[in-house]
Amino acid sequence: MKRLNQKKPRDFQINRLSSHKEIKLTLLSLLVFTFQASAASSINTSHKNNITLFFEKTVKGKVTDQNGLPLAGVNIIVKGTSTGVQTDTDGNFAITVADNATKLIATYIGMEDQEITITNAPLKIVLKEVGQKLDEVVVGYGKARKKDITGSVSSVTKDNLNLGGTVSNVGQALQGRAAGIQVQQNSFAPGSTPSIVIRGGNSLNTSNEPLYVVDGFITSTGGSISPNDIESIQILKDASSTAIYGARGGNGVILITTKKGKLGKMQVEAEVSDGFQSIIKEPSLLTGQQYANIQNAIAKENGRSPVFPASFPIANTNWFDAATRQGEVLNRTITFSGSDKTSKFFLSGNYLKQTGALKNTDFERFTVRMGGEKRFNEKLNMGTNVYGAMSEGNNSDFGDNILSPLFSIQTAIPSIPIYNADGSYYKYLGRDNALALLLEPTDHIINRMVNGSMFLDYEIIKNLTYHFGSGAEWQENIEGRYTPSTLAAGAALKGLGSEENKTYFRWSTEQYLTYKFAVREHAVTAMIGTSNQKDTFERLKAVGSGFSNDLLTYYNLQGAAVYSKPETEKRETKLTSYFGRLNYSFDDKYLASFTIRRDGSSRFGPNNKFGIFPSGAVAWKLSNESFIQKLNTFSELKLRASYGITGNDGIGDYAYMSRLTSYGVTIAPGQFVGGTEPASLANPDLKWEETAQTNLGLDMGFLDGRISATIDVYKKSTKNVLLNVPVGRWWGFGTQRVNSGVVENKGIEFGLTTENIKTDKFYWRSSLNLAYNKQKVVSLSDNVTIISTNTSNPSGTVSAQEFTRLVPGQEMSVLYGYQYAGVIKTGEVYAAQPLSQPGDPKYVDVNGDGKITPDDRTYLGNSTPHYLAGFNNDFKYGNFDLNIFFQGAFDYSLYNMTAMVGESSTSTDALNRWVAGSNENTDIPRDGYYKSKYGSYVNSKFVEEASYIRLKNISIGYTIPESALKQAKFIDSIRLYLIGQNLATFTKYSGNDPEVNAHINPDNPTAQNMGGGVDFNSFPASRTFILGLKVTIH
Amino acid sequence: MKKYTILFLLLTAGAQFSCNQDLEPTVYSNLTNTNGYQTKSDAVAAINSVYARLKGPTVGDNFSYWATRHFALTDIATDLGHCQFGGDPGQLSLGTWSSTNGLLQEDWNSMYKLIANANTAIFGITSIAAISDTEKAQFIAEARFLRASAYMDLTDAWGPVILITEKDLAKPDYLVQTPPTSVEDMDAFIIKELNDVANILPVNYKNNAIYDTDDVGRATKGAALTLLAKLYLRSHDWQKVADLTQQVMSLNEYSLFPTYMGLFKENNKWCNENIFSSLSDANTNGTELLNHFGPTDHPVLKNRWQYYTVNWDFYNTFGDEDDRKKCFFPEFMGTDGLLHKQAPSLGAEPPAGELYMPDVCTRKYADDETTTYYDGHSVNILRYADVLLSRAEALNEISGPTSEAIDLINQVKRRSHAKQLVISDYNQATLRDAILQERGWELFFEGKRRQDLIRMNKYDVLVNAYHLRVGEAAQIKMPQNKYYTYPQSQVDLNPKLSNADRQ
Repeated sequence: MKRLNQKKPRDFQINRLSSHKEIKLTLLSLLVFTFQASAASSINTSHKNNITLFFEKTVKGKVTDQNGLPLAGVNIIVKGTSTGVQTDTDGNFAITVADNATKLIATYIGMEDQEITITNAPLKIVLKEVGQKLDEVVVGYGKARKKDITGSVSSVTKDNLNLGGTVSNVGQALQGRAAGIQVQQNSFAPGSTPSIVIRGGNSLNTSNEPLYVVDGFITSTGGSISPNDIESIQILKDASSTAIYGARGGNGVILITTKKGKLGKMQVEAEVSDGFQSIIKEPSLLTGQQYANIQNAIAKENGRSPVFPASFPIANTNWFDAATRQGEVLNRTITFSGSDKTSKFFLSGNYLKQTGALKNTDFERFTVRMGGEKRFNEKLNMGTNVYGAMSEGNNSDFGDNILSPLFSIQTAIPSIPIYNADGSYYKYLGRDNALALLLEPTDHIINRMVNGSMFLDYEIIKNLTYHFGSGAEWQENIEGRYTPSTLAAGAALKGLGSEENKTYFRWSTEQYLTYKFAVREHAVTAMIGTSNQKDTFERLKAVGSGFSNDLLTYYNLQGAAVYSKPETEKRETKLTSYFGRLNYSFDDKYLASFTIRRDGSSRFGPNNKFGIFPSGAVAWKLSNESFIQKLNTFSELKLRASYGITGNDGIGDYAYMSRLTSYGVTIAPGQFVGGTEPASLANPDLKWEETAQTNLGLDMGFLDGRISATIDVYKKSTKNVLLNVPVGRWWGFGTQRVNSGVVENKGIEFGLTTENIKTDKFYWRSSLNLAYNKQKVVSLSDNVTIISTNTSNPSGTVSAQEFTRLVPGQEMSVLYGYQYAGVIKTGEVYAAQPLSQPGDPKYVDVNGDGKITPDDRTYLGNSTPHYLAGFNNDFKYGNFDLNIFFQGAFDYSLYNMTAMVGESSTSTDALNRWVAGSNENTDIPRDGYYKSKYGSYVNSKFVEEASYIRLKNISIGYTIPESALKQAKFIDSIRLYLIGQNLATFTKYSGNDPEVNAHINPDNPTAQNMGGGVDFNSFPASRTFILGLKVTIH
Repeated sequence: MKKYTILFLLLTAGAQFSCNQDLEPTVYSNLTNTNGYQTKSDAVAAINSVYARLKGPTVGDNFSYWATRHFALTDIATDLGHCQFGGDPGQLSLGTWSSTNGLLQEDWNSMYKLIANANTAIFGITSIAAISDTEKAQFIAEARFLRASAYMDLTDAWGPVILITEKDLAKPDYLVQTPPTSVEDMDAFIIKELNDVANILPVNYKNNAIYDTDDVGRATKGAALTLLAKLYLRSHDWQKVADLTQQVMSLNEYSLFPTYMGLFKENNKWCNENIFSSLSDANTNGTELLNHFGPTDHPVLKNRWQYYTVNWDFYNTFGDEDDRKKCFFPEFMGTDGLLHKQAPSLGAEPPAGELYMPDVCTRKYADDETTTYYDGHSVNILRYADVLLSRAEALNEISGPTSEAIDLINQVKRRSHAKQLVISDYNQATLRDAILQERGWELFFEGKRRQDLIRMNKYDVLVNAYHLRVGEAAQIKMPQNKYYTYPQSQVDLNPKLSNADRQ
């Protein structure tokens, strides 16, 4: 037999050749643009006015943009004259003016003109971008001054995101950066997407993922956009902010604003970074001889023949080492941007390639984004945004199940070799080779998407603006799989190939009218609008087996000897909404905001298609009151209160209908006939799940904004929960979807930003966020007091067992099982387990009835962290910058099933198992947990406290001094940086990583919400070091 | 005015781009209960889905109910079956199961899935106007037979269970905590159902007026009578067993297949010995019987799992002349270059070049002519040999050993060239034991063993004896192990299912 991985088609492996090409291409294009840009720059040399007049004075100054970056080539004109100069590359200017001149005007393309009064001191001029008011942020269907926001909104700008290296999506970019946002990653496999939960989950069986809105377009792919394109993120948390999204705002909303044209002339930014990843913690595995000895001893104790008789040649294989390598991560970004007084343009391309620390796990992504805006006249502004992405990944099943290659690797027998002498895979007792299970199957995931949107703003009459927006999103997800004959199943089937193609299409429009007016102290903004959306989903799957060889994998299914039935599917969702908002402010002190939205969805039955979602908020800007101003303490002080109702419709399509599902049946030899059975237990009365949220907030600023703090307290109460209520199996199903139950979340969030040191040379800013959330499921449904979630099978013969149990009064995902009490000792009589023998596991008789039954199970710990924290420090010293970022989660536990499996298989823990006479002082049972009539493998021994603090990121950058770049005029800046990610974790958790939640699965929100906290076969966590270079030219 | 014209035009244009005229979704890929029960073929499809649940309906994960898992309850958990692996089958094999055992839960789910499909089919078909009364009666009779068969298996395993019929679908209350129905009442229900359908179902489907093809897999009169006989056997109503088995024999529809091994070949999907079977096709809805039953390292049947096996103790009881002893893989040269065989004594160390197998694979669902990964073996739920042996048992209980009883047993033995019984060697008690032994030899891994042991009051005796012989603890106690513990999830939902006297 030959090793078939060598015969794989070349285009399947993401091979080195193409990535090198990619780098070359990037550098080439960089060079091309460098030349073009430098050619352009030579025209714009500054000229000095040399004419000297009598009665003159010289005015000096410096012009910067809002970020403090110097602006070169700004025109400085004396008001009322044509006298002018341009700023130099450092933004400095000196102009000689008539003695009686009082004002200068600064103009620059893409910036608003500014009038400056001449003073004796050097002038500091800050120019604002055209059309963008300072401190304005995006809210749903509009913009608002940050100061005027009445709700609870966390803003994270691009400077505060986790970026670079392995960070490939919004969740990773946001983790720890805003209070009350829980980001969990199911695995560290390249390309995997984390889950985000804002302020604790409301829903039990539907997704608690927030709604993503990118540049006004409600998208299903917002979480996976390239973080490099993000300008800022607003996280809407309370109901007053989210209610404008009505039935879909219940889990919070993440508004992403992508980068738009940079100010001024065309600028090219290129960023290149390379990094490597290494596994932080390797499992401690037995040697071949140790394993053989243990297995033989157990066999002997059980009266069986030795598993590895003397004649068996014991090998010593470390399967984990064989399966892992040093990972690599490459990131290439190039952006072109520019703007003038009437238009903005932005174009970016990003290439990310990750070679996973586990072999055969690769991920590669290309993205392109283009945005443009044009102001045709004072009244009409139009814009567009187009985003395309393509990603490919290998071997993507790293869930918490025994099909994961990590399970095979971690439980592979160390006493056998990997290969036979002829190079073929060694098979023991006919079972597949663990390394072959990792390397041989094809599991290829391809995602392609394009989304495009446009908007139009037209000021019909003064203060009345009409907005129209529409967008479409197309997404294709292909999973191609192939099981070659190097694996048992592939050998028997002569190759099994399949391709499944899923297509998602979304079409949405929105239009709204905004009217603003102000009379004396009263300012009013009113908005009404409507939106429509239609989603379709189509799926096609083909499966075949029996191929003449394995060379073409799934790319040639017509070569199969045997076809399975093809599968097709199509679904649709339609949404229609009407919404309105009224903002009122009095004297810039008292603010009020009301929103209402009426949402209609095709997902609900005829009587419940529409729901109404109102909200209201008030705020008091205390800092504008004279009695506060007199205190001279606060630079900002605002008190906020809000209440509102939002909804959730995340139940999938057609759930209210009695649908039938079809398949084929064999009734006679050779006859294959159709059969239909119910698809689910229908419920025609299904309607929205509703969350009512109250929020109280306080924003404070001290020392002219150098210290700012925000505190929010909230209470969410979710009723009519879209609950999968368990029903007796005699109904043919395990659950029925109903609206029932109440879930409460209460919490407090705190954010603090301080500018500790601010001198010309040295700058230090810190920001800290803390959040506490406590969830309680108040009620479920009449007659239903328990909802259980199972583990996955810990082995092929051991079934899943209940490990979380939800009853009213508890929070979701509370671990539930037996209290472990050690091992039964020789001679010990434990009356509660009469049939147990010495060496068997012993459990606590919790209910005291004298026997161990499932009624002795109890709660063993919560698995959702109650506290979340992030702590960031930015330092600048001269041309050096340094960022140190910590992130943590506290007060939670995990069920370490990997350790449980390892203890009775290949982990060195097995060395300490109970052995009669020689090793009795241990709590590791003689022969595992599966055999015992009593108790279960779900027990307190493997429930571990998992709180952690993690040094998530350190980055050190050096910006080459401008003076050094003077020669190359087209270069604006060059920054070199070094990033270390995941550098240190402080935790008592003994497993791979405390951050893991293996049950995260967008296809199964129930498991995610109620079955978190199991660590089984988690992808090994890595530490990453990245070296990068960023060059900006014009 | 112009401003408002522009506003009006914009709003109109915007509305044109909005996409939803209404919020009624189009259901593209499913029938619903409004358009799914209209025609005769709809009715047939509904009935077919009940047959589908004798096992899983799709290839690739097809191991539920009669396509493997049920045998964990009926055979692994007895004196003849074995599973070398720990966990759920291991617990059943060792008698250490509890209410959280996953295989108990799965089998419970599968049986009730079949019942639910039967109830839905009956409920839906009743309202179809486009079919004749004869057709309606036939379809509903098939569903009732299948449902009775699943209730029979449920009561075998758990005794009193929840009785649910199509009547409960009119106004379903999914959360009502119905008490389980006693075995007596379940029996009464099953008896009525089977008596009714025995008068409706045809003897076979050759030239059937309703079905175009000879659908051998469908329920027949013979199947209903046989199942009824087995129910009476379980309740020791011997005369009824004698009457019903006579009726089955008088149909002249059934006979023993000439060879024991041939009976179970994958290509022998149906023969005159089959009374009721679960059928499958390897490529379209194949099962994983072969994977679970086949040996590891076998040179022909490569890479199977040796998962549901027979213990050596039981294997060694076969006479060498008995063809049924050939229905195993006791010794072969493995692909690993080792000679796979039985250990000469418990715990013996194999010499170089040999491997002592912990148990022995049966060929019943693993015939080495099968070349596919998934397999299309028929599982014989009811077959004629069982009718003969059941009749022999009933006759012996009525009047002790008779020549008819002995001859019935010898018919079965003769097919396999096994040693014939001689009437003079037996009294009623010893013949009872011989019948139990014969049933083990003939029907191992056909879902009969546990019920046979319990019926003959030998469950604890024989299973514990076997466990003690192989160095395990005697875990079986009667009467609490007569019935399995109800699955914990079902007890949590309906506390009226009590495990108090079962664990």
